[in-house]
Amino acid sequence: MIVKVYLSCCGGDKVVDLVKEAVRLSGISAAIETVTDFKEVAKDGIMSTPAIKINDRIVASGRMPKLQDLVTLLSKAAEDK
Amino acid sequence: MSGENTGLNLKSFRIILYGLLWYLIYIQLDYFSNWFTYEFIGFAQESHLGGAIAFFIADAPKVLILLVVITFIVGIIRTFLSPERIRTLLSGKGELAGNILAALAGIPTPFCSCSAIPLFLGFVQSGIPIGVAMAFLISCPVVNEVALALLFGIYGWKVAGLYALLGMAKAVVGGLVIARLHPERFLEEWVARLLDNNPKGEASKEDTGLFPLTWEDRIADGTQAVREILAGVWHYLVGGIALGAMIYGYMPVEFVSQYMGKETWWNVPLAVLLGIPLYASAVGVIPIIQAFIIKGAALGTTLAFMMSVIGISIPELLMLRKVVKLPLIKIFVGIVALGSVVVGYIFNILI
Repeated sequence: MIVKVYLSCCGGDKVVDLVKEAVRLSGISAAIETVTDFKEVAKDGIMSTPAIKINDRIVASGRMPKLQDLVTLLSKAAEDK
Repeated sequence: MSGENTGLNLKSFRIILYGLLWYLIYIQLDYFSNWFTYEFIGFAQESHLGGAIAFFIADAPKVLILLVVITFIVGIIRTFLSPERIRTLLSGKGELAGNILAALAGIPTPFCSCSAIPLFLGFVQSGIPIGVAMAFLISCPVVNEVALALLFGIYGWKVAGLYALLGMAKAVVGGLVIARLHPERFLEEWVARLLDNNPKGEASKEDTGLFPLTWEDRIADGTQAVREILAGVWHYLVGGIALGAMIYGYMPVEFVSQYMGKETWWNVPLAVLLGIPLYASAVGVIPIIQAFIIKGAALGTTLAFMMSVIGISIPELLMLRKVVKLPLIKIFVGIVALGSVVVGYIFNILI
């Protein structure tokens, strides 16, 4: 599973930590990629950061989701596969 | 379930309590600062230092309270206005309606350039006309909730309303003018390619279906917005108020009214030119212009300066340059500068 985290120049290390923690809690093996270059962010269709994409689904755009929700989303995505 | 509800009720109760308390403090500030400076410490009424201190004591908390309240409210409003929703609102509208909506959309969106340019890109990518997207970019930093709240708090609704109206008019006219100049040719190649790959203007969407936002989330977002703005702008705020206090205390009235008054026609374009290379947040500029105005500077001249300072920033231009070619950047700067001059003159004539 691929989890992409999109950040801006305004920072957002917190969201990376959040995702890492969620992946750890869900016990799923997932590759976490961070994207900071705004060209790459735009190419993936993200309009506001911080944003999180699990596989091909944007689960958060312009906000930090709750840790608990993120864990559920990750488990759901793992089931769907 | 009921536990969650009491939590929310308690939160709303606390918010209302804070609101009331702050309102009471807010309306007493001028009185308190005068009492503190002239009676408690005992400065003479005409003392320069006393004037500066009184200004600082009244102004810093006033600006801070307004800032926190408005950021909190707009932070909550913003949870209803995701970029995706704004984009849907803007697309497929007539040209004029699209421009007006784009100018309006500039109010609640954060003014930081690293969020404005990706929004601009997202708009263009989904087929919104470049003119409309530029109208958003012109409006976004200038007509924002922070500037409007501070203007409202310090000068009242007439000045704030006129500022909002003229700022948005500038964005709408700017968008219409840019649309006439065939701006497609100014897009950078990689942006144009993004467009070619997406001929139907399809837009990717956030998928929150599983966890719709609750009121508690929205309030948390509002609180987060306050935290961010306080962390991001407090140095502007302190610097601006300190500089404002200096100007208030020491700048000679004759100098200010002679060169910055209404009668001097050339001070408006000069103020705008000076403002172009400078960049600060509205939070920092407003205390400075407030001090100048108390000293006899014309409102239009100082607001034109402010529009030019906050409306054009070098970091934003550098980022925009990655998306569009130089001619469009020149046009953008030209329109913002010219627009600020016009707004300045209108203010000087009307108020």
